[in-house]
Amino acid sequence: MKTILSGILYSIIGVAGVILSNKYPMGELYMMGPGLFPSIISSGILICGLILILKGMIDAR
Amino acid sequence: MLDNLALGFATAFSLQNIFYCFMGCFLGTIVGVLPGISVVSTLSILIPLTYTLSPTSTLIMMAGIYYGAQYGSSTCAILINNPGENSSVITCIDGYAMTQNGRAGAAIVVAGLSSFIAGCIATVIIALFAPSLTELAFKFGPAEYSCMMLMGLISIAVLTNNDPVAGIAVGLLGMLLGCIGTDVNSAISRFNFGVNALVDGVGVNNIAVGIFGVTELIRGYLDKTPRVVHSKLNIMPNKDDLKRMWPAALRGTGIGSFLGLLPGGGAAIASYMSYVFEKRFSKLGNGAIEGVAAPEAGNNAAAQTGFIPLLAMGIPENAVMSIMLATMIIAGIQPGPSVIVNQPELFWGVTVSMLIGNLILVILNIPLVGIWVKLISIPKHLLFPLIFLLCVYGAYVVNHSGVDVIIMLVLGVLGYVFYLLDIQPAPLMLGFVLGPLFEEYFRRAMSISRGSFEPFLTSPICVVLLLLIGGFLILGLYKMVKR
Repeated sequence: MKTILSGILYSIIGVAGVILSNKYPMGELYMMGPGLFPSIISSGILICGLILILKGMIDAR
Repeated sequence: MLDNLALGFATAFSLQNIFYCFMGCFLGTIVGVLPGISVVSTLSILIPLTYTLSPTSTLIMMAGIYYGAQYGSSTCAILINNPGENSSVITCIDGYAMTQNGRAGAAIVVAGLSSFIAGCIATVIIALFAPSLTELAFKFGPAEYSCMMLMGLISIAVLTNNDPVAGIAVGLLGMLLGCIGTDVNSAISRFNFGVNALVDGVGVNNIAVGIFGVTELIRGYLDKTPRVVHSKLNIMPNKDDLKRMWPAALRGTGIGSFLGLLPGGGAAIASYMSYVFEKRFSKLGNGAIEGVAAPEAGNNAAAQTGFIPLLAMGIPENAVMSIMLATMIIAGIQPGPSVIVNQPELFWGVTVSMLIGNLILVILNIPLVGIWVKLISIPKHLLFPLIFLLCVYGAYVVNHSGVDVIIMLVLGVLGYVFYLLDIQPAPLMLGFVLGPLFEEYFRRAMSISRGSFEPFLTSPICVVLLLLIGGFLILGLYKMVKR
C-alpha cells in the first residue's frame, strides 16, 4: 500500500513538473533552454512513480 | 607538504578558529547525546548563523559538530539503549549489555578512546590522500563532472533506500526543487508561482530544516520510548579492556576510513560494517568491549574521511556533506579541485582542526560525561518546543520573510509524509544541492560538444563513471527483485 501511495505522490509531482516546465523555452540539446532540464527531471519522477504504482500492485497480489 | 601543514597549524590554532572548533565539538556532543536531534538538522538550523563567519571557521565548526556527534551518540546508546544518532545504533548491542553488567563507565571510556584513535588516523589519511585526489580531479571537464555527480546521486539513492526506485525519485525531486529560481544561463525565473521569495530559489536551510529538523521533531515527539538513565559510571576499564580495544579500534578505523570515501557512505554505514567485520575476530553480543570499540572507531573515521571527496572534488557523499557543500557555495567558494590549491588555508586549516577537535572531544566526553547524562533526562516537552522555535527563527532570519517559514513548514509535512511512506529523504538533500551544479555542467558539456553525447563515450573517466552508474542501477534492480 505504501509503495502505491508513494507512486501516486511521485506521479502527481512528475505530471505537475512536466506541465509547469512546458511554459519555458526548451531550446536544443546544444543550447538547452530553461525548460528542458526540469522537464527531463519531471519525466524521470513520473516514470519512477509509475514503476512504483506497478510494483505496489504486483506486490499486493 | 610541510609548508601546507604549517599553514594548517597556523590557521587552526588562531584564537578564533580554536573557539569555533570548541563550539562545534560542544554542540556536536550535545546533538549526539540527545536522541531525536540529528547532525543534519543541527547544521541546517546553523546555516544562517554562518553567513557572518569566514568559510574556514564555518567548516571547522560544522566538521566539529559532525565528528563530535559521533562521540556523543555512543554515550546515549550505552546508557539508555537508544542511539543519539543513527551511526550508533549498532553500539547499543554490546554497549548496553555492558551497562547491564555494571560496566557502563568502561564502555564510555573505550568508546571515547576508540573514537580518538580513529579521529587521529583519519586526519592523517585526509592530509595524505586529498591532495593527490585533487590532481586527478583537475583532469575533469564538464562532461566528467556531470557523470561524477550523477554517480554520486544514483549510488546514494540506491544505497540509502530500501526501494531503489523510490530513492531515485526522491533524489530527482530534490533536483526539481533545485530548479526553482533564476536560471543561470537564460536569466528566466523558473517556477516562482508569482511569489517574490521564490525568485532566488528556495533557501537550502529551509529545505534541510523542514525535511530533517521538523520531521525529526514530529517523530521524536510521538516516540514514547522511556528514557531510563543508569547513573553508575564509576567503573573504569581495566588493562585487559584496553588491550582488547586496540586491534578492534584499528580495524574499525580502516573500514570506516574506506567507507567514508565512497559515495553513499558515511558514519552510519561505517559503524554497521565495522561491527559486522569485527564479528569475524571477536565474540560479540554479550557486552564485549570490541563491540563498542570497532563501530565507534568506524563512525568517527568515516565522519572525517567524508571530507576528502567534498574538499578535493566538490562531491558530497551524504546529506551532511551536501549541507557543508551548500554552505561553501553560500560563502562564495566554487566547489571543486581548485579549493585545495586556491584556498589552502581552508583545506589545511579544517584538517588540522580535526586533531584539536578530537582532543577537545576526549576531554568533553570522558571526564565530563556526567554533564551529558543529565542532559538526557531533560523532558521532551521542554526541549522540543525550544528546538522548534529555533527552526522557525532560522527559517525567518535569513530574508526576514514569513514565506520562508511557510515553505519550511510545508517541507516539514512533506518530510513526515516521506517518513510514513518509508522513504529516506537523504537523496533529496543531495539532489537539491547537486542539481543546479549538475545542470550547469551538463549544459556546458552539451554546448561544447554541439549537442552530441560523444564526449561521454570517448572520455575514459566518463566511461568508467557511466559503468559504475550502470553497476549501481543493476544493484538496485537486484535489490528490487530479491525482495
